[in-house]
Parts: sequence; structure tokens; C-alpha cells
Amino acid sequence: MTEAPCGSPFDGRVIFVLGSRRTGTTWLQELLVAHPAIVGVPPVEVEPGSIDPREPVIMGALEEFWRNAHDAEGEGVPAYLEGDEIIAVMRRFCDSLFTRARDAYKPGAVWFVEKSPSNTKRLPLITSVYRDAWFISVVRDGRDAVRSLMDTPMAPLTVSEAAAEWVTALDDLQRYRHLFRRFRQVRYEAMLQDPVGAAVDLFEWLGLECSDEILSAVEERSKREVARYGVTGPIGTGKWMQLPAHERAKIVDIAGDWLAELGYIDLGSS
Amino acid sequence: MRHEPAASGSDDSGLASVTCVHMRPPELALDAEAATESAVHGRLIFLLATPGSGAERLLRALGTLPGAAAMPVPTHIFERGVHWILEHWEGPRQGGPGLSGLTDVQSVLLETRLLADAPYEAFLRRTGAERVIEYSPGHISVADEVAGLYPDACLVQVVRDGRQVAARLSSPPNESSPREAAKRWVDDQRLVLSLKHPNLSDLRVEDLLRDPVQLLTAVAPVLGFEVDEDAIARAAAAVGIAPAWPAVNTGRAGAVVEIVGADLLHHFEYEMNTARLPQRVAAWGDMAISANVGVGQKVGAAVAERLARRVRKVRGALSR
Repeated sequence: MTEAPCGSPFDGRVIFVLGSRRTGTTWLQELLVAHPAIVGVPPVEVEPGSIDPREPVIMGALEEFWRNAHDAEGEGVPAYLEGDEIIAVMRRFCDSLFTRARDAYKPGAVWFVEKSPSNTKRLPLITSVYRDAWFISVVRDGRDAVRSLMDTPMAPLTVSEAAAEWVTALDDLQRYRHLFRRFRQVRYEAMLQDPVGAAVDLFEWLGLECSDEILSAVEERSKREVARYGVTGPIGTGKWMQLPAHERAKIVDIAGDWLAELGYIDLGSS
Repeated sequence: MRHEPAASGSDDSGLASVTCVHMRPPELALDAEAATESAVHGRLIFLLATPGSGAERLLRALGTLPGAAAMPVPTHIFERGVHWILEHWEGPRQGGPGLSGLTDVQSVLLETRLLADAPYEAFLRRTGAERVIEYSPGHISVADEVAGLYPDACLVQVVRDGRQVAARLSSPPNESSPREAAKRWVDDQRLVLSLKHPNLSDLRVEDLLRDPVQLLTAVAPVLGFEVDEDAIARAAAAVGIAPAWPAVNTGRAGAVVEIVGADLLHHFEYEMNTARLPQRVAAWGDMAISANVGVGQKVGAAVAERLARRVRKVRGALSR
């Protein structure tokens, strides 16, 4: 079932970028919005040279309404609305705000891309309201994601917590994988190696044209550094090796299964 | 207003251990002209009452008036829906996560209003009624949001003596402490009294019970109902028989209300200073012991200890 739950200006044209923090989700959104047909909430330059993502967290905002909609005690919204009506109401709410954002940021666009890190925690909600959406999960070596996260102002207290966050996001994606009708996984490392190629693959999957002009726009966007949070130095992979040995061991302790599953480590040889 | 979501997973940073603070919009008032887009424009009556105030009686009564229908169960749409949406307006830092990245305040308020309308619209359609009356016990605690999103609705603050409400909220099966129960009543009433809303009225449930005909005759036209004596009689009958409430049964919770909400009791013309000395001393002790951080906690504990000794002395004196 890939049609919208109600009449929608974005029927089959919403993209959710999913992934744990510091896995390249902001960068992927930037590559996608290089296409003239796609719009998302643009990042904001908080100070000269420092561009931070601006996540709408619209699904987080709807979380309590979603809980209300699942009241099992005979009260709340479900006492007055059927399940499909509730979904339609939520869809209209989101679509209306997406439309307003589209009109403000890129009036000609017909696709909307939504990226909020906490979306992986709300997959049943998202896939109910946007069952017609396209889901792109970004996967990055958890050791690099943890190291990168620990360098930001939003860092958790310990490396262990950061590793657990990365694991939880992947667990959630796996648990609800069956809810996605249109799903694609991309590797951050592959994007880094060939950002234009990665974007072209996705545009083709989405059924969007890829002219030379669009490719140039993607290439230009790919060079723009976003979500660095004051961190300087080159962007790259394998920087987890700079972590102290005991922290690397902690990460593998917590995230080893997923790191092995994704081919980042070989548990047998380690 | 700020909230710190519980570490159980409501935080939008994507990480439970990080405290993520969100804020409501700087203004909560939906433009009155924009509100006309609502399918239920001018058709809603919200009863705002702290739980245990007896608002259900007024709900039943108003539901019998011609063209009106009372919603049989609470929607909880504000405390479990709207409030959370509005709290996601903006993150703690510039450009941080929040709905403000999508559009302006008025647009978010309007779309939230249209979302909140849905259960009311469905109920009006199903019943064929012209007006709908709703009471959700949690709505009074976010009354500013109700008033902000529904400038066209009628709001009725239903007040019962705070000492009795607090006593009830702190008795089984309710789990509030006397101090929490008292604070709930006081905070709720203060919030409603602070509202600037064109269609806000209040009434005392004690007056409704004492003479429902008189009170409903006065209230109905304020809410826009044109009613005759028969309609008022039917509504008055729906109020039900007045329970044998004690004149003023305070207990410790009531004593706390007398201390922290004396102005409110006075405002709503309730009899004052009915708490006995031991109850008042215990109430002060309750409030002192509730100090919950650092030095405040130590001071609170010391004060509570001294007050406890006084209580024992007073009790001893009374028993002699």
C-alpha cells in the first residue's frame, strides 16, 4: 500500500532520511535538496562559517497526539475518530506545514525531505502517516559516528552512551524494517567517496531526472561543510583510530554485533 | 514555558541521556480572523476545572440545552496532543530543532487548531448538534493554550472550594500529596484568572448545586443559548442531587490551600481561616519539607523538624 492515507500535495513525494546522529544525514539531505524538485528545511548559519542543521522534529511534536490516539481506556481522540481518520488528520497537519515550508524555501519544489535524528524512534508513527514515503537510511561506521558525536556540543557523557545511541537507531530500523514500502540504505563512506554518484543513484531510485545542471549543483553542494559544530580539520573516515584504546574497546563491546553485521569489523579475527 | 522530557525517550536529540529543552511559541494567541477557517468556529464550550470540582454536573446540564451536545468522554486533546506540539516550537539554541524551522507562529497555531478541531468536528457531525461542550480534566492546566487556540470558543471556569478539591485529590485512590494537590488547584485557578479571553466566565459549583435553576438561567444566555423555562428545568434536573459535602473540610491539603491560595479563596468568596491550628502547622511543615535542593533541603528539613516538635507540643497541650 503506497498511496497516501488522504488527499495530499506530497502524495508519494516525501523522503525521510533516517540515521543516528553524526552519520551524515544532514549531508545527505543537502545533496538531495540540490535537486530543484526537492525541498527541505535549510540549515542555518549560526555564526560565520558554522552551518547547523535545522530539524523540524514534527514527528516528535505529534508523539503525544499519537499516544492519545492509542488510548485503550475508551477516552481521548479514538472515542470520536476512527483509526484512518486520525491518520488523515495527522497527515494533513504535517502536509500543511511542509507546504508552508516549501512555499517559503523553494516554491517550485514538489518533493519534501524530512530529517530529524529522533525519527528512528518513531517509525510506527511515521510509517502510518507517511506510508507512501521514501525512506533512506544512512549507515556509518559506529566508531566514527561515536567519535564524531563526542566532539560536538551535544555529546553524551560517555562513549558508551554514544555507542548505545548508534546501536539503538540500528535496532529500531531493523525492528520496523517491514513497515517501509520504499527503502534504501546508503553508506556514509560510499557517499564520501562519490557524493555525486550516490546522489544520482538516489535520484534514479526516486524517479527524478538528472541533468548535467543538477549534477553540477550536487557537486557544488557536496563541498559545503555542514553540521561541523565548530569542529575543524578534514572530513574523513577512520578517525576513530584517534580514540584511546579503552574507548575503542568500549564501543566494540557495545556495538560489536552491529559493526560486524555491517562489515566494519570482523569479530572472529578480533 | 519549558519542559524537560523524561529520559525515557521523548527527547528529540535522539539521545535519552541528553536533556533536551524545548519551548512554546512566544505568542499563543491565534489570530481571530484565521480562526474563522475552523469548521467548528464559534461552536465550542470548554469547561475548565481542576479534577474533583464537579464540572461533570455542569457538562451534563449544558448538554441538555437545545442544540447542544455534551461530549461523553474527555478528548484530552490539549494535555495529550496540542501541548506537546506547541512545546516543539523551538529548541534551546538558535536554529535548533523545532517547528519554527518550517513556518511562522501563526501558521503553526492555525494548523494545530485545525488538528485539535477534528474530534469536535466529528462529534458535531455525528450528533447533528450546533454547539458542543467538553470537559477534559487536564485542560485547565494548559488553559492558556485552550484560550489561545480558541478565541472564538466559550470558556467556563468551574470552581469548587480549593480546600475540598485538594483534600479529594490527596485522598485515595488519588496519589497526590496534600501539597501537590493544593498546588494543582491554586496553579489552575491562577492560570485561568490570568487569561485575557473575550468569552471567559466562571461559576462556583456550590452555587450550581444550591440553586441550579437560578445559576443556569444566568449562565445560558452568557453562553449564547436562548432558552425557556422548560429547557432550564431539564438542565437543572441533569445537575443531579447535591451531595452532602461538608461545610468546609480542609485537612492538611485544605490548610495548604488556605496558606498559598488565600487570595483565590477570597476572590471566589469562600469562607476563610477554617483550618485548625494543628492542620496549619502541619501544612507549613509540609511546605517546608518540600524544599528539594541543596541548602533549601537542609533548611526545609530543619524547619520541618522544629515544626514537628511544635505540632507534638500543640497536640500535647490539646490532649491535656
